[in-house]
Amino acid sequence: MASLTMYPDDEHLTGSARFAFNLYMITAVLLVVVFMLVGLTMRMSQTGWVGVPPKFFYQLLSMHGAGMVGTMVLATTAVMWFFLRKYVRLHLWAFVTNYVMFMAGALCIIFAVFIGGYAALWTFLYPLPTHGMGMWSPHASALFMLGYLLIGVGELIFYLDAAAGIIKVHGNLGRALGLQWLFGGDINPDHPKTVVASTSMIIANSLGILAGAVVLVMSLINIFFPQVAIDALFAKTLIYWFGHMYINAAIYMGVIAIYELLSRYTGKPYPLSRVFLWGWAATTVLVIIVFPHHLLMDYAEPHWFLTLGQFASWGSGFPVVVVTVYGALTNLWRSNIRWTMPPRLMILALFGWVAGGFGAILDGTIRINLVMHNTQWVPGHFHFYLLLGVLAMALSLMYHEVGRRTNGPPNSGSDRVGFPVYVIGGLIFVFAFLAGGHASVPRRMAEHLQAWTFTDKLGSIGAMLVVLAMLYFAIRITAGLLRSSRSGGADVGAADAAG
Amino acid sequence: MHLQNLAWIILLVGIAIIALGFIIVVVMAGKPSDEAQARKFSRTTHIVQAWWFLILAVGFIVGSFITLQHYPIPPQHTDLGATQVVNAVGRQWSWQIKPDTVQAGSRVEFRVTSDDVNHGFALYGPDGRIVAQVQAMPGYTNKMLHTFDRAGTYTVRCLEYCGLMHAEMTSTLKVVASEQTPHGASAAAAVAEAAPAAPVSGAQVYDNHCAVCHQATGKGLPGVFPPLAGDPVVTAADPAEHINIVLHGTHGRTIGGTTYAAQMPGWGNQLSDEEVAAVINHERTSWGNHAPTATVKDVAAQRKP
Repeated sequence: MASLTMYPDDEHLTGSARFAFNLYMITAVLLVVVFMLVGLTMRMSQTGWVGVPPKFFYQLLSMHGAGMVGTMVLATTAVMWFFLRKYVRLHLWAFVTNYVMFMAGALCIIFAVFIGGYAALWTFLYPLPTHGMGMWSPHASALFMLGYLLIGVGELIFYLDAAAGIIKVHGNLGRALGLQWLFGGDINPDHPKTVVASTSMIIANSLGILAGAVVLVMSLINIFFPQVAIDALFAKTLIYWFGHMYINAAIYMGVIAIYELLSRYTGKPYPLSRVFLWGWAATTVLVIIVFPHHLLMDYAEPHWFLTLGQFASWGSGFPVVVVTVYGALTNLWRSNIRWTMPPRLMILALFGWVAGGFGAILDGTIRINLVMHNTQWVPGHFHFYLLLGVLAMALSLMYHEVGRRTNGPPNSGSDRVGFPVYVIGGLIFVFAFLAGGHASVPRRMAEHLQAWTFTDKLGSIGAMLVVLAMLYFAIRITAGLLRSSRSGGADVGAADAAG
Repeated sequence: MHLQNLAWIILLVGIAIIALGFIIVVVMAGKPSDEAQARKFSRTTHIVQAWWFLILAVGFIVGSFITLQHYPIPPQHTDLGATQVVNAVGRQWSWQIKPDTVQAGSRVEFRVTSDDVNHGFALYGPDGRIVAQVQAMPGYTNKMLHTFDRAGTYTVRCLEYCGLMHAEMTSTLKVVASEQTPHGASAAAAVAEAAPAAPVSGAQVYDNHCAVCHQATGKGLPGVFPPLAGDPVVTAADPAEHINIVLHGTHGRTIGGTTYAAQMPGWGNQLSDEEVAAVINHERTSWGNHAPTATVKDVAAQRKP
């Protein structure tokens, strides 16, 4: 069971480990600010408030999509590492190698986009990378894909090291998931939820990364040997398996922060249960098979495949709302919690996840997808659970760690201003997208009709508030993480957290 | 009611309920409980969780039945039996839609494909809302069925990002009111009968296929797509090179000191000799151009690469 001690000794970071963690999190928050500014530029361009040529718009869109997804996974990988290392042996070299490969991959992507002119978006949807119509060269596309390969291989190295550590302690991945307790038996109360969640994502995201590697290599071969053609449907299926899995892994790694930290702030234990294990067993399967919901308008796919996408989309909501969110809210109920930044962010994250997920479930319904696919409903729902969900999960750990190194859980006056600005700005921003989708405003378009610009303007205003808040968080967190630990290093006990 | 409106209402109500739940818990979080209350709460939460799961499970079953009972996507490998068939081909960056007029009130089968990259064939009603869509994928023909409730001019938009001029990749589909057809004649025949074959309009062909890049003004996009107004090939006395470019495409040309990297596709497979001749002659006699025109025979002679 997760400790109720606010800052247990086995989480204390020193030396290289502290340096590596700081590198991950400070890079993440700074990149998020940069990519938010890119996003804001695009939204303002759609309103007509700034003029961005269409070619550059689509380059920015490519950078924003790839950059944000990569950065979310970077930050939540650090979340997973921070807690998993308490329970299994993780090698620091694997953690650092992932970072180095991420940065190398990111540089490739930046070069491909801003020097090579690559503008085929994060999806690199075959055969568009070789059909730039003079706007980008196939070599720019190849560099972009190389960047993806580097990032994916880095993450795999981290996962393989984690898997080795987990297997050494628990025997196999099935036991780490707690499958032996699904149908009975006494559950070990000390079996860490972190191990369950980490194992789930190691399995699922490794498969997704492998799918991505296959289609990336195929695409690269096609670039250099155009006579080797690829079936477009097969390529698209692999691309969306890879992409869907990758960003969902960010959510399911990020939630580890809530499992570990919430009970410290509520002062109430949050024990492992059979329902929890069922929820994660179901999640492991569902997250792997849900990706057909990206392909619902590809009528060439078998109908059973598309139906699977709808069923798995709806089914994926069960573990979230019946297990994790329900469990967290019951833990919070009458806990006499003292509200500071970490628990505020955690509860916001749960709300963002559920609310955004609801929009996703609607869009994952074939009948609704017929009129919502590729409208702004899509960025509406995923910005909801990324901005107000995943990012908030990662920020909660960052703030928690800042608290360890300063005077306890942060709750300054400027924190109490930054938080509502973030929430209000975020809600305006995502609801503007959702309203646009409802009005059939297409996504991914540089030029908008006049009739579409009202929601563009609302979205831009919301985005400005979000950027301001995030800029504040980035400075606060960077400064806080770079501070030395408090002298004495005494832990703040659970009583203080709940008092 | 538009399906989008229903989804919007469901979303707003759902999020409101979720938000209310969170607010209640957050408010109650500040109120401590004693041991007896905590034990009672612990028992209650498991019962509530079980009921919560059951309610969602029932919702899953009922919702799945409602949304999938009449499967929203038609079979792709059987005869759909529609009296009206429209073939739509997408390519960077225009649609070729034949026929471009259909009748309201009876089913239309759209056969949608792409010549190059993935496109999205989305039908927007006169009120600007999507009524149906399907992906256009190279190597595949996707079949979509739709019955238009009302007449009007529908816009076809590309909804799958396909490159620089993605936003401009639009076309129109005219939907005419359903008429009484004599002796059970098909709806398609009625439309054909009502609209006798029109002569090929070069301006229309230009608008459908060329304006997206070269612009309605013929001025192109500076540095990206060359202008046709005053272009040396378009205004040359001999239209041979002009025909060759329209039929087979070109790229990397230097015109007026500017090298255009963008690739112009060839239109030989999409346009008939009459259409090619018409659009070439439109370009040669518009925007201040006064160049000799080409004949259909001239185009036919250039078909061989």
